[in-house]
Amino acid sequence: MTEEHVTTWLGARFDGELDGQQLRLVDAHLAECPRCRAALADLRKVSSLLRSVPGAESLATPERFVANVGLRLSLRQRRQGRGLLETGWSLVPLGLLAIWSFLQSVFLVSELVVAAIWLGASNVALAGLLPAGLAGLLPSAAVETGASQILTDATTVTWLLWLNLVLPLSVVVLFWSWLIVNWPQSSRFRARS
Amino acid sequence: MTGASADSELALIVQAQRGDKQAFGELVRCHQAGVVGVAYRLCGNARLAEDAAQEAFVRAWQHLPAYQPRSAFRNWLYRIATNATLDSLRRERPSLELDELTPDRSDDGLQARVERHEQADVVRQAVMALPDASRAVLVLREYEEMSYREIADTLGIPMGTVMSRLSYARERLRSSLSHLLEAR
Repeated sequence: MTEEHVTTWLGARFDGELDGQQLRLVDAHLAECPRCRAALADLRKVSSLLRSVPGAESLATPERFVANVGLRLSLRQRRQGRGLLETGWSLVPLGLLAIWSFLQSVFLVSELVVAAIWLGASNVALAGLLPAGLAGLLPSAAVETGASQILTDATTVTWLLWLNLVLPLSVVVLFWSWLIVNWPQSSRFRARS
Repeated sequence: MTGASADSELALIVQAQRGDKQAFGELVRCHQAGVVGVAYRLCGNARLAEDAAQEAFVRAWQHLPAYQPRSAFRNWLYRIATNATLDSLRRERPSLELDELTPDRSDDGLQARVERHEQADVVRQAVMALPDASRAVLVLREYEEMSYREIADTLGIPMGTVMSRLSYARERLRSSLSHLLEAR
């Protein structure tokens, strides 16, 4: 090392990061090389110049600083909570659409079944449409007494009303309510951005 | 840090990790000056440094459960502070101005004070012109007097990278401040 310049190690030498054999080699080179000695002196000057620049003290007293950190922390936590709520709120239409699709598929299946009954298919045939395990689950009254009795059955009518009218209407009302409530918020957001 | 104060700091950290905000407040109080100092050296603006330091403590609180006392708390905190300051700097750099230095109150003549003031300003601008990564290493070495190992630990970079960034930063400063160095 004594014949080559030790530029790479000068910084570490200056910062006191060298020891043992490496330190001895660098020092031996420095004793003989005026160029490396000058480079080391430059490092010293740069360092002293940097340290001559005053730093800054905190603008706030420790008490005020701690209070500000606490305030910022609670604001952040509140914002995070609100963020979750806002995400949930923005997903409401998606949820309603999912319910709507589910109801539509239920109606479709039920209407297919009713149509099959109206077309004169017997309950035996209806039972035949279902997988073997599920046929046994059909109400025995429905299987035995036929389509006309099913349609006049008060419970069935109530269920059909629920499925065909009340539930879809509720979904529609909820969807429009969401749109109406959300409208001022989204207008404000557009105005801000 | 002495053994006793290191122990009491560890106790505060454990309490804060369990959600004790008062213990965390005590940690904030202990490290406020250091964190603000690092932030200021990195950005050169007291308002931004204060803001970044507060942000650093908020992030520290949020990540405190993940802190492992294997590394020094100060190093861990300075790493967060460095990232928070550089983030703020990236956001605000276009409109950011370096602070006016506080007036020198020494008994020297007016001329000497003005010269010192101007010189400090030139040095600060040269430091701010360094790339963020090199400036962070330089600040931790020159102003916080950290060892290479501590800097590597704080910034999460290898020791070799610390050496090369430091060497690059000093070389750039040596060249940009040559007119001031000649006079010394």
